[in-house]
Amino acid sequence: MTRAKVFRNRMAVATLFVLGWGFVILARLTELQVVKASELSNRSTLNHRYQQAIPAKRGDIVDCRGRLLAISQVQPSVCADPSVIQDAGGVARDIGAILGKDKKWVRTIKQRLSDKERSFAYVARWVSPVEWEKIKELGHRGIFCQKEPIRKYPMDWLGSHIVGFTSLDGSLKEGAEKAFDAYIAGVPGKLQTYRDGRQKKIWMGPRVIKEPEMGATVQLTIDQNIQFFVEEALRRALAETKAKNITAIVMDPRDGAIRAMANMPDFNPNFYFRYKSNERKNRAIVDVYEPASAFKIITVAAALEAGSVRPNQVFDCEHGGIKVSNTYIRDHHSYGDLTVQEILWKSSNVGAIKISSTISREHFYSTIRKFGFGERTGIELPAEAVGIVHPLEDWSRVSPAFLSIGHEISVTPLQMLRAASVLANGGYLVEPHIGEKVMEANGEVVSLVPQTKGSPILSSQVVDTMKNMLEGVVEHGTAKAAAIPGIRVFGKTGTAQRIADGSYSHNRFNASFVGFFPAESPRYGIIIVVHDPKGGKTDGGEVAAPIFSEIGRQIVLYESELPGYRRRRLAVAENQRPDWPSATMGVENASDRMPDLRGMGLRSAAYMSMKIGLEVLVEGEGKVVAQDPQPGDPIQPGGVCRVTLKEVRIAP
Amino acid sequence: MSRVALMDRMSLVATLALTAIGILFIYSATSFEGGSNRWVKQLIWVCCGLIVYFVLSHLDYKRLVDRGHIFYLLGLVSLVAVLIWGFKANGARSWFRLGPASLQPSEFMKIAAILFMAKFFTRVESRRSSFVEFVVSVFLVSLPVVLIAMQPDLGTALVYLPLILIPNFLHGRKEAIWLSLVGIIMAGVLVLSVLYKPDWVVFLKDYQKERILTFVFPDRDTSNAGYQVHQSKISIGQGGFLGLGLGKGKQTQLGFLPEKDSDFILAVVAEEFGFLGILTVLGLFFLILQRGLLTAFEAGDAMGSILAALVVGVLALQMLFNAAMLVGLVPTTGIPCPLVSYGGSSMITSYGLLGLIQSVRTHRFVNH
Repeated sequence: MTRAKVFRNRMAVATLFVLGWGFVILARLTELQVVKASELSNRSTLNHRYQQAIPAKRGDIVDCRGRLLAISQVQPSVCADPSVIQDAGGVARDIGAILGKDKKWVRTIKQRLSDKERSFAYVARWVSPVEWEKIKELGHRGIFCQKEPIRKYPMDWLGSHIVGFTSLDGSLKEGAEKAFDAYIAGVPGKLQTYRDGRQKKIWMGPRVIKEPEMGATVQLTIDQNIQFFVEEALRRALAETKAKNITAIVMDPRDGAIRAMANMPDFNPNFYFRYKSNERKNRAIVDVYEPASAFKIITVAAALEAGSVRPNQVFDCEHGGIKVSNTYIRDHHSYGDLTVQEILWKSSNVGAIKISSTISREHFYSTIRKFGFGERTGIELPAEAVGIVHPLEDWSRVSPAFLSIGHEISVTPLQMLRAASVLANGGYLVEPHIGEKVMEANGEVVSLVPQTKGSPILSSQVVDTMKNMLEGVVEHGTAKAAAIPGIRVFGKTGTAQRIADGSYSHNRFNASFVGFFPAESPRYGIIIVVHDPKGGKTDGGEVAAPIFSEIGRQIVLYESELPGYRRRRLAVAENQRPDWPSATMGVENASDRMPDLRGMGLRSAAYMSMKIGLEVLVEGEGKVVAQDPQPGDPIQPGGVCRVTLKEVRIAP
Repeated sequence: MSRVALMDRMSLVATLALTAIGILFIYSATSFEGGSNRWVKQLIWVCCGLIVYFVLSHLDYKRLVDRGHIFYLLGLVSLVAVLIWGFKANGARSWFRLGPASLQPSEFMKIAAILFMAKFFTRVESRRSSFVEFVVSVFLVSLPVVLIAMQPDLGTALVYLPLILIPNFLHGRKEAIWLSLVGIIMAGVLVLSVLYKPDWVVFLKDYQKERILTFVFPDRDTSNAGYQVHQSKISIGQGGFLGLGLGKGKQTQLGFLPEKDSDFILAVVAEEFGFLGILTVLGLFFLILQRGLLTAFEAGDAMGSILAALVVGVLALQMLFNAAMLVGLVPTTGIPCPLVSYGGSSMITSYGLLGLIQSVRTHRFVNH
């Protein structure tokens, strides 16, 4: 091979190498720019677009008649992209001046806006639209508005433990707000900001790329009026009994729909953060207590169902006490021979223990479980307690005796009410619930009512016998104070010694009453549990039964389908004005002239009339459309005010 | 006939066109950042470059090559000086600060080294280079390479590779070529050992190892070492066939693309002018290289031929390496794109190198 040829060959190899390399680069460019172009383009989009969620407006929560319990209002929030803000101090000062904030606020915001690493910060949440317009006119770069929903509870305290609350950032939820969050929450929208890579100099402002979807409205089984009656009664009772706390539940025993549920002390969900957890606790389902005598319902029912006792069977009640193993258990009073129903009426411990000795432990245990103790009732509200029912193998020799009088067992008020409801609905264990239905934005309605009914756990004869016996408790027995004029009521009291420092206390009690009306076909079941009432009265019959009666009377007045009286003075006195938003109370009446009641609801009208000392005669339902005396007429104290109510449709 | 008339006009036009594209995209990439005037500075550098270009094309390359050893020694001195008195930027001590301008001796050293190597290999023109000469040539090129690598600036050091490879390949003995092959294989082994046993490689700095790793696994860490290539690829891909338009490249304008006016300027071209734009740039380059190669063949003597071939080799390597780096085919080493990237020293050097080719061309006839 000649030298020239070798040179030429090698030159060709070198050139080919360079060209080959160029070709590889070209191929790679083709791959990137032609084949993968759209994929890489998307990646670029992710690079410089910064997305943020727009909170969805939460759906409303309404009561069984569609009245608002929780509502979301959309208000502008002033937000900032600190990474593009140059003069944080100036921006904070300007905005602070418009919003009327102090120097401390300005300092805080200045610091927040100085953090260049952040791309989002709140300056002020939920300002008024007017304030936002002024801030917008300042024209600061990096300041923008985000329309944000704020949760409001127009009824304040009313139903606070049921409705619950949602914290400002949505991280903390309680009550129905939590239970039905999946429906209420809605779908957040998307907000997009264009931004640059490292320099963070380009800022094109946010743009909505997906509108948030509003959450669905959830209707509860709660009746605002009944809830009000309950809370009013409990608030007064709390003051009178000086109890630690009081719980009440109103439930329809036929299907387990909760009409009202209240605990005192309670809280205002609009300012949930001001209250202690003790006040925010829904004791009706979270706290457990020993049901004591009220549990005798289950003891007697178990014995009747087993056929081991007859209703008129006589037991010797040993004149005041019985020795069970090493413990001596007393009655409140000394009783001699009592029939089964008299044992219930007088709530004889000795009698109950003797009845329990007629049945097998297994039967007693299975009956307790059948009544739903030791398991959650399944109500939608969060944090429900299970209660304590010792398994059969852990029972001691004296367990049946203690259980027969409602000790050695812990239940929630709701469990007790649900168990007692078995007697009121013909033997069924219902599923308590507070959800009625979901109304989606598109008009779709989903029922939240549980559909299962199951089979009766008691025979109808036993149920009827028990009902008759328990009616006697109110007529002749320990719960005379629970009576509601004109209505047949049945129920059972309970008084338990509170457990303090590990042993039963002799001066601290839990007083309870569970009852139903009207007895012929019960529509309302109410349980009242008063924890640690102070001052002379400590018995369920003395403390809890009157509260039951008060609530019952109000319901009878309110519920048109119940027999009763339509003319009755509503028991709201001036010094007992409940903690109730003034908006629903109407205006204060300063003069001695008749105020204008027209347009008010029954409650407000009645309250106004009461304040000026008139008895109210009500006709119809809805809002006041006519009144006598007319507005402006002189008031005759002790007179009568007739109001005509009519369902008024408010034009949209 | 004047020297200007003998110049390769097509090469000159292509050179000016590339330079214009470069200035256009320096403008596009930087002008939105608070009115940077880099494109104006670049224009001034191009003027300096053009002066060097015309001066060199008029000077007889033979006289320059004859003094090659002087340039070479001066270059070595400047490289040592920059290590001592140089100005440090981006972690490398590569610059001399002269008022508003900074000069990079490692760039100018390219010209000096090429002249010296042309002189060295002219001696062996009529025969195969001996093995000893091969070793000596490797040694002579290694001196500046080591000095530059100490700055450290691996990218620029890499560009000196053709000075050994080309003459030895074209004129060398078979044994030398085989030895070079062994060297390349050893380099491959080095890369593999960095990948699998990084602790054994004690002579590379961590960030250098990191770059090699990132090259092999580009998606390993998109936020740090792989960030540049990752963003570059997105820019190129986003450009598509026709590009997004001048000043509309989102990657470029929003600042995601790094070094967008220097090492990665071709990615800006690709994003804003698309596949067609980058094809134009590469086409112009191949035209310049092809013209240079033609000059090498048509040169009046072996010296001119070797000189032109060396220049073509250096420029080709630089350009190909830069383009390969953009698309993630080679590690990010910091080699600017000749004639297009922002940078005074690089621009003047590129023009100077092309001026040498013109000199070879204008002095190809003996009677001139």
